[in-house]
Amino acid sequence: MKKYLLKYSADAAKKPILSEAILKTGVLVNILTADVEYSTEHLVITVSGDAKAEKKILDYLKGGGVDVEVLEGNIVKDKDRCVDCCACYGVCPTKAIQIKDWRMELDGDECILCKACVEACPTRALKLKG
Amino acid sequence: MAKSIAEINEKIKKGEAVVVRADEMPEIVEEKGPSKAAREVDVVTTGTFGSMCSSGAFINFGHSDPPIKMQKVWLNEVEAYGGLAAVDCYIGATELSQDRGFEYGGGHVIEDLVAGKEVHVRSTSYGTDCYPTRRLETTITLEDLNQAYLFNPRNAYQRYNAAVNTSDRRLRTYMGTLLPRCGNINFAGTGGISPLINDPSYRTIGFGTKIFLSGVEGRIVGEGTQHSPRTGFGNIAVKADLRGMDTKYLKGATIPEYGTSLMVGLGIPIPILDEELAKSTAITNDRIETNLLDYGVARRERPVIKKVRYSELLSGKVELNGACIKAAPLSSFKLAYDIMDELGKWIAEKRFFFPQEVEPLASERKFKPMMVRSKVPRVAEIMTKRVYTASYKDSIEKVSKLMVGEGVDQIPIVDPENRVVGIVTSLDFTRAVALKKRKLSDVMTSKVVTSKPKEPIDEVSRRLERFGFNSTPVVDNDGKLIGIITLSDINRAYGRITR
Repeated sequence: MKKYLLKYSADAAKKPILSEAILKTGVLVNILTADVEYSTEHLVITVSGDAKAEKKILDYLKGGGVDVEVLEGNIVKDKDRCVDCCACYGVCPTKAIQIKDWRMELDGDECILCKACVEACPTRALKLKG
Repeated sequence: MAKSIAEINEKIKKGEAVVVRADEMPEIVEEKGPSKAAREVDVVTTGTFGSMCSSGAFINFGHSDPPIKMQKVWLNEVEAYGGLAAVDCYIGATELSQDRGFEYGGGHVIEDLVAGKEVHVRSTSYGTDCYPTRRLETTITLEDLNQAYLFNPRNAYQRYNAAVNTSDRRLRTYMGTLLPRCGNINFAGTGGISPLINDPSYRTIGFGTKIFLSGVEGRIVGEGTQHSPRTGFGNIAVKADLRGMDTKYLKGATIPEYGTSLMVGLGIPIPILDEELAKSTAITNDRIETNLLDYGVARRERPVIKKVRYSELLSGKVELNGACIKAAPLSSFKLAYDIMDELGKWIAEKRFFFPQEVEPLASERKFKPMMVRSKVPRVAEIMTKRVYTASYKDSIEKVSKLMVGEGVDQIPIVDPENRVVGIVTSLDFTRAVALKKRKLSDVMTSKVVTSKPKEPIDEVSRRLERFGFNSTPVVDNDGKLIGIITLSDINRAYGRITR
């Protein structure tokens, strides 16, 4: 399932745009992570329904001044720093990090930008893209 | 039939020695039996890689002109211990930098030296007739130094505890990040391939044993500090030259909100002298058990949640109370395998021979706890027992009069059974005036942070800091109010300790 990063401008953050979008379009969303402050907001969501429903609600959000990006390959590792200790594996709430043949394997598409692994990494080998 | 060290060295010289990795040995012994395996296999390589906090390096800078007795020394703003002679120091892995805190420490300085990077040196002194210089600043690289060697007092634990957190708060510990309510398990050590567990009675491991240490040949220089062989927590003190080390096997580490450390790669080749050593090197992960401890309890004796085997930990999932919990090694098995292969290569290239004799490590040694004679007070010793309380039905006027009359800043709110249901502070009353609230229940805080009488006050002071409160009611096991403790009570108690 595709994940979308919603970036709110200072103006958009003051309005209940997501609630409006859901009520007006009747399309449901699941909020995976939310970083909300007074004047800025970042949400990561998935949309329930087909491509048409997806387009409907995302267009509504864009119309309301929300920046919409598809999330892919969100996290990168520095191969020279990573020692495959897998401290990141246990704290990851999704399947973005797996252990295979004693190596840490990343599936950036599963990442929801929660940063738990970035903070837990002892050699500072992980970074969020962008 | 027994083999001697000399015979094995002779085979290495002729290029005929049979070397296998510790993970391959169980199958060999299973298939051929220990006696045949002992005849055919000459060396078993072992390895581990992980954060080893009890690590550091001795450095000799050489003399400046005019000379200085380097009393205080900082390397990239990480303080090193200068209390030996004039231009020697010891940089410890867990010392934090003064400018970057947890992100850079002694372990990172050592890694930077090995990487050949320039390191900034700052030193101060009081000046003597023979060492007149009082301040010095310069940069050095590993090449500029006279001696620079890793000297780690405690490395390569035979096995280690596994950690889980039953509390409802995320913890940052030396065992890494532990999610609340048993959200994850962290463990350390490489189980059946780790060095000491392959020779648990230390027949070939002792003072003088040659080892792989972060890419170069090093030596064991004695038992490690806290060496506790009888409980399965034996460990070693090791030494090797920083020159020639490889940063692949040596990395500065940040253990989030805990401190810095040094990740060390360590391997020991074990000569298979007889059947007994063939058997001990055939150890498998399902035969190594360790304690899963609750790090939610910050005391010396942490409760054992259950016994777990390394085989279970290594599967990446451990079952606990019916739930499957992710288990992460913190040690790198990938690099431990590389270290075992590297040792195999050293032997194949005839670069490694066993020392004729080593002095065995103590196999009977108890790890004693520290007796603290200046006791940190417990809550019950310093709390105020006479507490003014109120009922949530009381009026704001009545309670605020009580506060003014008795000169207190907070009043716990209790139910008829004297159980704490809330707390109200002078700030809450300010809020009541500002927001025109009339009822006590509208302004009191009902989520109260309480403390227990037996808790050390250090724990309470951390808790108050975390929640930003100035006081906490003290309750017994039934939640009934028995006292109150405030920041000023704690400050007074600390004042007594330092005096």
